[in-house]
Amino acid sequence: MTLLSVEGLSIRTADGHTLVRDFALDVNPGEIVGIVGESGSGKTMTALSLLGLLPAGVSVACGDASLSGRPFLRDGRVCERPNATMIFQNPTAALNPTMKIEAQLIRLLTFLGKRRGTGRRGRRARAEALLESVGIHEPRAVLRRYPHQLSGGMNQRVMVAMAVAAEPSLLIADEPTTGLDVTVQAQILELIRSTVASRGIGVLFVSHDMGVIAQTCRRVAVMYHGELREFADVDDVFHAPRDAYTEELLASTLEQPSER
Amino acid sequence: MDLVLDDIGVVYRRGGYETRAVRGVSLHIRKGETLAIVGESGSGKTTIAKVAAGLQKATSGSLAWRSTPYGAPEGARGTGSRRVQMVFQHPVQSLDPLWRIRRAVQEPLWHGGASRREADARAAELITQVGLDPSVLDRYPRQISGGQAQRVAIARALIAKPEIVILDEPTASLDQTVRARILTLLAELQAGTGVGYLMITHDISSVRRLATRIAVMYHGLIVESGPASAVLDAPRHPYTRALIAAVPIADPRVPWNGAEHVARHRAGILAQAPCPVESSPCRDHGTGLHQVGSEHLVACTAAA
Repeated sequence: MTLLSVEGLSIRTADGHTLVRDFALDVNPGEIVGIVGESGSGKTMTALSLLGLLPAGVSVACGDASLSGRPFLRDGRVCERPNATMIFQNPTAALNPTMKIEAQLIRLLTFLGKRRGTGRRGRRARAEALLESVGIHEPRAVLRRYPHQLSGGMNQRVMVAMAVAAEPSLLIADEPTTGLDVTVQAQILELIRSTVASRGIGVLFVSHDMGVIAQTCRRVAVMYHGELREFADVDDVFHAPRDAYTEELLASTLEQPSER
Repeated sequence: MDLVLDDIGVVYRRGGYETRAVRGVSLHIRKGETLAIVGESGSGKTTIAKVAAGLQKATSGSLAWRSTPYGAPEGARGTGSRRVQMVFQHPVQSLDPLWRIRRAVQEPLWHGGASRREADARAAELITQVGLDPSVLDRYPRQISGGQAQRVAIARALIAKPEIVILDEPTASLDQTVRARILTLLAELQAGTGVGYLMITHDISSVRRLATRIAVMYHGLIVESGPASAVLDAPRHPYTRALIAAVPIADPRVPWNGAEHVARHRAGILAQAPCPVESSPCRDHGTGLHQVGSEHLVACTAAA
């Protein structure tokens, strides 16, 4: 069964500009689906709109969306909170700078515990286990630190840990490796892939990088100026593009070094 | 050898801590060629760019322009600095928001005593050369796009006919299609003017179309340098190999496992002894560079 289904999504500003027009896409469980486009294409607005995180003055004009068959967006109005979480481009800025990692995780687990009945004693152990599950080898040391004392890659691992703590069925990743070093990026992409494989969740992966898309996603939506230009398997998009803009995007992809 | 940096060291001191950002880096740039310095955050590449531009004092070592010393360590900007210009990573932020584009582009000419008519003519000429309409000269930075702003910054850097332009991550903040056009423009301008580029980048995949030579920096040291084709196609240092292997291949049919490569190369670095980066003698003192090919140097005794 389809995990996420989005249809006829349009996003507008208060002064009448259309940022996204008639967008549609679906994600299956255990699948990573990409949205690729350049700045201003509307890819981030699309991702934010699904979680009700649009900035002030921007709103969903119309569209329907459902997660696991339950509608959460009906005719442009949010009717339910979807079981989805999100990670962002700048992990260090996404974390609270005044709190140690431990306090942030415990607070999150306490919040989640209200719904799930996790005991207070179990939360510290759960926090450690969560960090271990995202490939952090010394969770105790990381728990004691503030975000600014950790690298961007480490903070993004912490973000992934917090995102999966809620046991979402969908993870939205908005440029999760942009700004990270390329060697760190490779490790975070692997973490996202292994998280999908072990938890069977779906991922909506927003990126401007064709290499990242090619190696991470099964299907990809190409956006340009708020319009969905193409939505297909990555193999088709990269080897048989149907849209002129997709062709330009592929042509501009810089040559890769041949040595592997 | 037009611009020569010899045994440059830079130490930042803050709050009782010392950070050795650059540790004994030597390099040279000739007119008409592009030297790309590739490295990740914290490798010291931007510090090297600032030293070369005369914007930052080196703690040790010397700079010379055609055998005439300038810049570090006293910080006196001498004959060299006018011949060296710089293009920054964030094009819009590098332009004064209160100045029209015309004034920003002409500014380097004022120091040379150009007349207003000469400056106007030259600004129009340069703005056309970088592929913009002369009407852009009357606008303010906020009225142009990031790609246009980077073209303006390039025009500004070239107007006083420098011999070397330092490009600090010139395309990092630009969209992919714009990035490709800017790299093409830089190559055309180099062919036309014979200017030399010192290009700083974290993205090794972006240097192939512009770089003549590549120097790879890691923890303040150059760990590998050589002709671009040798470094990209036959990298010898474990870190260079990891850096190249970590770039996702933009083709879903080509299998890629960057994380595995990075882990394997890191393990390789640890297994090779003596090793220039991870073992303590190398981390503290470096091993010097060993020649492995024509102009191809590697700071790794195991690879050499």
